[in-house]
Amino acid sequence: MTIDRELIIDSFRDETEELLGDMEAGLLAFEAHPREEVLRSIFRGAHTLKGLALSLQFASLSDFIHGVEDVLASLLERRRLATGELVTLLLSAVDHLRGLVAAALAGEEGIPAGARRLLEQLGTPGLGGLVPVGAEGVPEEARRVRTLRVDVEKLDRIATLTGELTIARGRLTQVLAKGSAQQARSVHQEAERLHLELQEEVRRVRMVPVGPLFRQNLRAMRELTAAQRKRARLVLEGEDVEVDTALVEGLREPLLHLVRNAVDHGLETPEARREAGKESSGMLVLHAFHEPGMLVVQVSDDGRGPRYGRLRERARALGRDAERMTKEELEELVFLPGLSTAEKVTEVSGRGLGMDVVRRGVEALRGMVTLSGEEGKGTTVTLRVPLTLASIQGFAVGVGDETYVLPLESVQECLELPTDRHGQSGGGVLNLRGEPLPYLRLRELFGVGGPRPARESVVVLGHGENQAGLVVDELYGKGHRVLKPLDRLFPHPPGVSGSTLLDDGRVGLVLDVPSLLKEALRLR
Amino acid sequence: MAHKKKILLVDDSRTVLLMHQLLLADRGYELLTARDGEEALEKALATRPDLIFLDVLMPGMDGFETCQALRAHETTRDVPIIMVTTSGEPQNIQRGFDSGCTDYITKPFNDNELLDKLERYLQQ
Repeated sequence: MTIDRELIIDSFRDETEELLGDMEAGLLAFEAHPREEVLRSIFRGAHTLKGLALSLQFASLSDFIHGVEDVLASLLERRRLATGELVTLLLSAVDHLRGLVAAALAGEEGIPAGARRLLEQLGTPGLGGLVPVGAEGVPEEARRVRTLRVDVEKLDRIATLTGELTIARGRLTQVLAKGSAQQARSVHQEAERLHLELQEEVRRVRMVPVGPLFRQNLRAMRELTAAQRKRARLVLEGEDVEVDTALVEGLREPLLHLVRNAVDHGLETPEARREAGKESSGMLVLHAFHEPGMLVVQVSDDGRGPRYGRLRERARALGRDAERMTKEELEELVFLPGLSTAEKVTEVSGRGLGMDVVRRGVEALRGMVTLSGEEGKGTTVTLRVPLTLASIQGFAVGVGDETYVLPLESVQECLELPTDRHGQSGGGVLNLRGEPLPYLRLRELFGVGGPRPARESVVVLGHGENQAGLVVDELYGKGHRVLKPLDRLFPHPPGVSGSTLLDDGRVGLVLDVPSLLKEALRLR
Repeated sequence: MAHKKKILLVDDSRTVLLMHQLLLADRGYELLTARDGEEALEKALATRPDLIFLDVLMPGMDGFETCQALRAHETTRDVPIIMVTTSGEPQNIQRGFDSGCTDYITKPFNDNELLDKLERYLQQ
C-alpha cells in the first residue's frame, strides 16, 4: 500500500467511525423528536460515507449504503413514513455498515446475507423483524490504530513550550560551563516551570468529553426497555465534562453494566409504577462532574431502590450482626461476589448480578464505586475515578534499598510503629485512636532483605470503607509520578498496579492499594 | 517567480479533503481548505483564491447556496468554481450551473480529469 493510500485509509477509518456514531445518535434523536433537520444530517452522513466508499472503491459498502441512502431520501421527500420499525431497521443498518467497513478495510468483498435481507426489508413497505448482526460472522475488526483528534491550538502550545524548553536547556548548558551557581539555579527554575507547564498541556491533550461514552448507552436503553416492556428515558448531564481518553475505554463496560442493571432490576413495569403512584415512564440519569483530581459519574434511576430487608437477611446469612448494621453497611453488601444462584442475587440486591464485576472494573482504573438509595424511590450508583491514568500524585516509601510508590489519594496518615512491635515479623493489629487497624509489613510482602532499621513507620491506607496499615522503613513523601505499565510478558505481581521511573533513574513499583487492603483484612 | 496559485478545497469530509490535498501536493499550488459553506465564504473573501472546488452536500449552507453567495461578491465573482457532485445525480449538475458554478466533476473523481480541468481554468 502506498503511503498516500495508507493515510487516506486511516482517515477513512476514523471518519466512518464518527459518521456512523453520529448517524446512530441521529436516528435515536429522530425517533424521540422527528425533526427534518436531524433527518437531513443523517442523510448527509450516509451520503458522505457513500462518496468515500466510491472513491476508495469499496464496492459492497457503497452498494449497501446506496440502499440506505435511498430510504433516507424517501423519508426526506415524505414518500414514506418514519415508523418505529423503520428506525429500528435503520439502526440495524448502521450495525451492518460497521461490519461492512471493517470487512472493506480487511480487503473482503461481498454483502453478507443478513445485510442483504435487511436491504430487502428496508425496500419493502410491510416491515419484518430485526436482523441480528453477526449471524454470518462479521469479520474480525480490521487492524486497529488508536487515534485521538486533537485541537491544533493545544498542539501549538505544546510546540511553543517545547521550543522554550530547548532554549532553557541551551542556556543551562552555557551557565553550567561558565556561569555562577546562582545563575544556574535560576535558569533551572525557569526550565522546571516550563516543564510543569508542558506536562499539564500534554495531560490536557489526552482529555476528551464523556458525551460520546454516555450516548453509547442510549441504544442499549432503547433495546432493553423495548424487550422488557418497560418505559424509560435516559437523561444525560455533564456531557462536556472531560476525562483522559484511556479512562473512557475503561468506563464503557461498567457503565453499560449499570444501565442494564437499572433497567433490568431497578425500573418497574409501567403497571407497577402506576400502582406505586409514580409516572408510568421511568427515568435514568447519567451525570458526570468533576471533583478535585477525580471524575465522578452517577447512574441514578427512579425505580424500586435497594431492598434493605433482603440485604439484612443476606448479612445474617453471612454471619454478620445484621440488626446493628447501618444503611451504608447494608448497601456495601451489594458489591460482594454473588450468592449461589443468579435468581437469588437479583432478589436480594435488587441490582442484579455482577456489581462485583463493576467494582473490579472501576478499581482497575484506580477508582471507587458506591451505591446508595431509598427503598421504593430509586438507586444511585456513584463511580469515582482519577482524571488520568497517565500519572498520579504518588507517595514514596522505602524498604531496604527499594522504593515503592502509593497513590496519594489512598494515604490517610503516617505514624511511627510502636516500639513493642519493632523487630517482630508478620502482620498484626494496632490500636488507632481506639479502633483496630490491621497492618502488613511491606518488607515481608515483597521479600526484601537487609537489616531492619531502628525505627519503622506505618502508612495508614484507606479505600472505600476499608482501612489498613503498611509498615515501611522510610517515608520519602509525595510527588508527581508518570506511570509506566508493566510489560505484558511480566504480569503484575499481586499488590502491584504498575511502575514509575524514580528520580535516581531506577524503577519503582506502584502498589495496588485495594488488593493490599484485602490481604491485610484477610490476615486479620 | 509568479505567485503560487491558490486553490480552495471545500468539503465536509476530512478524508475527501485529504485525498484532494495528496493529489495536488507538490504541484506548486497553495492549498486552502474549508469544512462548510460559511468557512468557505469567509476564506474565499479573505484570500481570493484562483480556483475553488466546492462540495454540494454540507451542513449549514450547501454548495449551491455557497456558490450563489460567492458569485454575489465582487471579490469572488469571477473565480472559477468547480462543483463536486456524486455520480448518478444529474439534477445536481443542473442546479450547480444555475447557482453559478463554472464546471463540475463527479465523485469518485478521475485524477486526470480533475487535473485537466484545474489546469485549464487556472490558465484562463
